[in-house]
Amino acid sequence: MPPPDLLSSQGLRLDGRRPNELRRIRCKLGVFTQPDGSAYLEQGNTKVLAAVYGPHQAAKSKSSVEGVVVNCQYSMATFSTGERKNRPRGDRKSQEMSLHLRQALTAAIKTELYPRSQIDIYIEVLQADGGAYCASVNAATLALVDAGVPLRAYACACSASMAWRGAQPEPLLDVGHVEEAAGGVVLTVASLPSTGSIALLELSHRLHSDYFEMVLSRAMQGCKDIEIVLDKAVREHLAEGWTKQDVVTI
Amino acid sequence: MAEVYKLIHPVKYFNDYINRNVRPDGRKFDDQRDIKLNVNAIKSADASAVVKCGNTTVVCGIKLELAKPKAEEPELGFFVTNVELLPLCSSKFRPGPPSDHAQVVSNVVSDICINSKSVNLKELCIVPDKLAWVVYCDMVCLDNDGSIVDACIITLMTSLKSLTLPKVNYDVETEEIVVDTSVRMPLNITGLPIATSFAVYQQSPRSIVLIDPSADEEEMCGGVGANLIICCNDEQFCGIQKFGGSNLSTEAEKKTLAIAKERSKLVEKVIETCLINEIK
Repeated sequence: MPPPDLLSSQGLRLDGRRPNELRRIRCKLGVFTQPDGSAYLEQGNTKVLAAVYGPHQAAKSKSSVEGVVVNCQYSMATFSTGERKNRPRGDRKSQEMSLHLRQALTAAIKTELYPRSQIDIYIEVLQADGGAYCASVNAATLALVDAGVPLRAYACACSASMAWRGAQPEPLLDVGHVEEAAGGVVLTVASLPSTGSIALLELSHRLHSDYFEMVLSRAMQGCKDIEIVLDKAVREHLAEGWTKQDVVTI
Repeated sequence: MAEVYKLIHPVKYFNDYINRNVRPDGRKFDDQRDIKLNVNAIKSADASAVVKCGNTTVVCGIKLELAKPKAEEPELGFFVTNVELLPLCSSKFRPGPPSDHAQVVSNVVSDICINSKSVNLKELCIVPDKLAWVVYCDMVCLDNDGSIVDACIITLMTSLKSLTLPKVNYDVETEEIVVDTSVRMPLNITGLPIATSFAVYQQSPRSIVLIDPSADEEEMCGGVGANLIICCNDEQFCGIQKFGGSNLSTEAEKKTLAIAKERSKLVEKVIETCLINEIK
């Protein structure tokens, strides 16, 4: 029985948003000097950093003739969650997240262009307020764009949940930590919105198959909206870069 | 064009600048980089600060926990510092257990904090032998462009100064702990240790001391990290580390001590201004 308090009587959620409203996204590309590409993304209160190194020579054991090997590492700062997190990386949850990130991003990168090479993507979560995986995928996409790695399409991720308003089901977009902890179902989708294809899909808890389509389409719509925001940020970053760049004469 | 020259002849590139008494980023030998400081950026941490010294960025987050004091020191709380040098901060670091350099930096920072005695461990004790605060300070380096120990200390001190401890009521008979987060007392910090990093460059016959080196300069001067780190706390020196590799003459050493003292006053002003602006 889903908890009844995810949607108030006025149709507002626990943090005051409407059911189809995304949290505010603020992002910046090229924030660090050392990595080849970097990005900082805030989705509501979740703050994520992404850094990309590569493509560079792959380690012998990992090198593949067919395409580039994507290596992801997901790490949460010890002060990012309510309780201090003792093991920032290497525990099972982080390894699972790293694997899912790798799968989602490998679908987006044009891997056939760089055989025998490796791309390293490092994600650091500074503050986790739900939707850390989605924010990580979005930040990683921006960092890849900043590094100049060729992509098939933007990789965007969004989560969706389900609540009941009276007897009517109402899918919720972009679940926060409070809604996740309340025990509702969470569907996380990483997709390439411009092609309409899904790179990764994950569902926790139970959801009746009648409502699955509804929640999935809400999440896909969320991905499309996020793509618009990311695209705008990339264009602004490039416009800024071009006006400031010196003209180099050789 | 300059980028290509720097890659192919790094030593000559560096020497060309040094011969004209200027550094590749345009500073003089004695100039330090601009410092940008911000507090309370991370809401999930009890106190936090972000510092940017030039391009070097370090975030410090403080989390508080309760624990039983050690049996042999029942009046003292715990103060634990940790520095994380992530693979994302520099291409030299690989994922996995902390590299030697990371452990050295972590140790240096920890030594400076303990030696300066700026946090009084007795104040962290709530009820002797029963309950004490554990202050976990985690510094995460996001971008390593040299002088990492400086940045770590600055951000650590700033977050400690902005930290407030909630009131805890401990009932001795029932062993019940009640934490009242609405009443918060600031932590008492005595003094303010500030570190200054130097790199020593050998260009025979003279050796040049560079203040606040960037990552390229540190690499040129033979190292992993700065050659000399001086920590100054209110006219007292609470830590001096000189890593091997290059010689430092005695009058150069005197000069560096004087510079470190001056810089600590400047940085102290920066921290005070930042905290005053935050409270407003």
